[in-house]
Amino acid sequence: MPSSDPERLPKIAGADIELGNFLLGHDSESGTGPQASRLLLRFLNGIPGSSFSSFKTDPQDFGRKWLGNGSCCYIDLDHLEMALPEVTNAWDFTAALHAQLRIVRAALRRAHDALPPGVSLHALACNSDGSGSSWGSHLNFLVTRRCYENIFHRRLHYLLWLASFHASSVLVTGQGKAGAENGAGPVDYQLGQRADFLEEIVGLQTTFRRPIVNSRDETLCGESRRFARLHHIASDMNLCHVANVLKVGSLQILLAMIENESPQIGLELILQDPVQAGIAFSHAPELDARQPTLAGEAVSALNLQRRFHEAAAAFVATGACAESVPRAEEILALWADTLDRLAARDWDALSRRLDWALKLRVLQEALQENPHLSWQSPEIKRLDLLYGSLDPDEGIYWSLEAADCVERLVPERQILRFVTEPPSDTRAYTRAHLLRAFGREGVVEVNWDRMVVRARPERGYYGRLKTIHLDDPAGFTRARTGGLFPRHHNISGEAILMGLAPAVRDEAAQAAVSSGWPHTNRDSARKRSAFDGIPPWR
Amino acid sequence: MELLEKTRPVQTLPQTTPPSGGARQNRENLQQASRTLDAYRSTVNRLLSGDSETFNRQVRQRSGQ
Repeated sequence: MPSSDPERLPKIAGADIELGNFLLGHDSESGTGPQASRLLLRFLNGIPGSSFSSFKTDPQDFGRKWLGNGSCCYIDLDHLEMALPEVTNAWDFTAALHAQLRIVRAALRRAHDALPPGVSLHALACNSDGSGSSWGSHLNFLVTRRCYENIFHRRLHYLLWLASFHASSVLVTGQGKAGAENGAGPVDYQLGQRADFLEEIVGLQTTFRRPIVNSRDETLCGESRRFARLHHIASDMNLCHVANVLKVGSLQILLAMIENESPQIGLELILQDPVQAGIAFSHAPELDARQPTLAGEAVSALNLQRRFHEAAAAFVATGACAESVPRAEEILALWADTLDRLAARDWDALSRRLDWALKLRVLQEALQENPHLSWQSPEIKRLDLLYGSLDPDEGIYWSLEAADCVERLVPERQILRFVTEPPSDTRAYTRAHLLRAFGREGVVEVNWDRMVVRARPERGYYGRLKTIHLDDPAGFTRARTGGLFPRHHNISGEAILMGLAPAVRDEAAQAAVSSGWPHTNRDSARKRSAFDGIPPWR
Repeated sequence: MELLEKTRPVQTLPQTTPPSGGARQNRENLQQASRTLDAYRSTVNRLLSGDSETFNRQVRQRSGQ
């Protein structure tokens, strides 16, 4: 590895988020997740990710559809999974997340109309069912290959530093949960949903013995050795705007520090046992748990978060992430203010910012007004689970947001824009516009870093296949390709491909033949629908 | 109820922020906030009165990621 100054990349962020989904009024021996997730996917409008593998049956990547805002949705096991378009900053992340939830909510409503009387479909934005199963709200960050190698293979104190940060960050990023799971000690209420399920420091796996720091090395950036992706699986699903901005923004800064090989990364913040600490911090909504650092100092999560903030502030002050983390000073200010309010136990302010504090308030009120209930009552667990239900008639968060009980950091118009439009400053912009330009008939295959299209579908049924490589998540922005996609008139596919050269290659033809081509996307969609396990009433 | 006593966040209801703008607008905003808080209370009461055990059982999911 070279000893030269490290490269700095924009801390582009994304997310792959699973929803809890189930049917009421319909019993199935194996649960209703399979039918519920397939119903939701059916009523999402999008272009199938592949027309080659029409009988593909990967249970962790089934039926992927790409949407007009640059995102995609698919089924992972029994969960509908929504993957957000790439964004450059924490505010856009928050807007894109809420936009995606609205897209799925619209599908939920359409699916309701297809159900027989007495059957209802539900989708929950959370990370556990309260009965021992957990699913993820994963984040993804663009880092350099050198940064990735440092974390996992060369400078392992970076990894432990990151794990210690994650253990304490539940203070800000927890969604809150009544009770404990997965063999963790009993507790009435805890800050996090995932903490009980994090059992190792590092590992590739995501569905068992989940690690705090995930080492899955899928760049989704083509063949380039320049890029890598940090796949973060430890945090909870958040709905509060502040929690989302802090979750993504603080990680952007910390990863920029690691990428810069910053001297502000100190061993004094490393915990002796981040796994145990994560559970201990989560199980202490009184915020009084302490865990030992390597030096033997007993620190609280709040104390650790303050020290991480200090290190991040010192780093930002050097100007080293001015290009890679937008609005870093605003992130730091919001982070510091939230930590101050945690120190002051300012619950009025905290319940407007942090999901765990808002949910705690809801559950405590229910307990106060219904003294016959306890933390272990099924009624309390039901409220806990329904906090993030996408159905506004039962999702408690939405009624509190409507009542102005939640601090909003992104305006409604930005959320609405991301329902239909991609972010303009990442490759999601070009992906979304290619989907529109080539349409269902012209798009043959889509992935994060490439798209195969028919070059001239108007001149023959199959057309010539071209692969467009979208390796750089920070490339292919509106500033770079916007001229190829005029707003008010059509432009030919040939012209678009010429404009995108040299990212366009002919190599798809061979792949198409070896993959069972030709099928059109319409063909594959029709075949899939016959085999996708949709309940018999539809 | 020990946790309830230790964390003590509970006031009777979630508090709304006084909206900015003129007096009439303020009054309308407060009325709207009051209505939405009523909707929140109504939602919680409805959920508390349902068959929670059946609901919780149906939520059970195959483990995801």
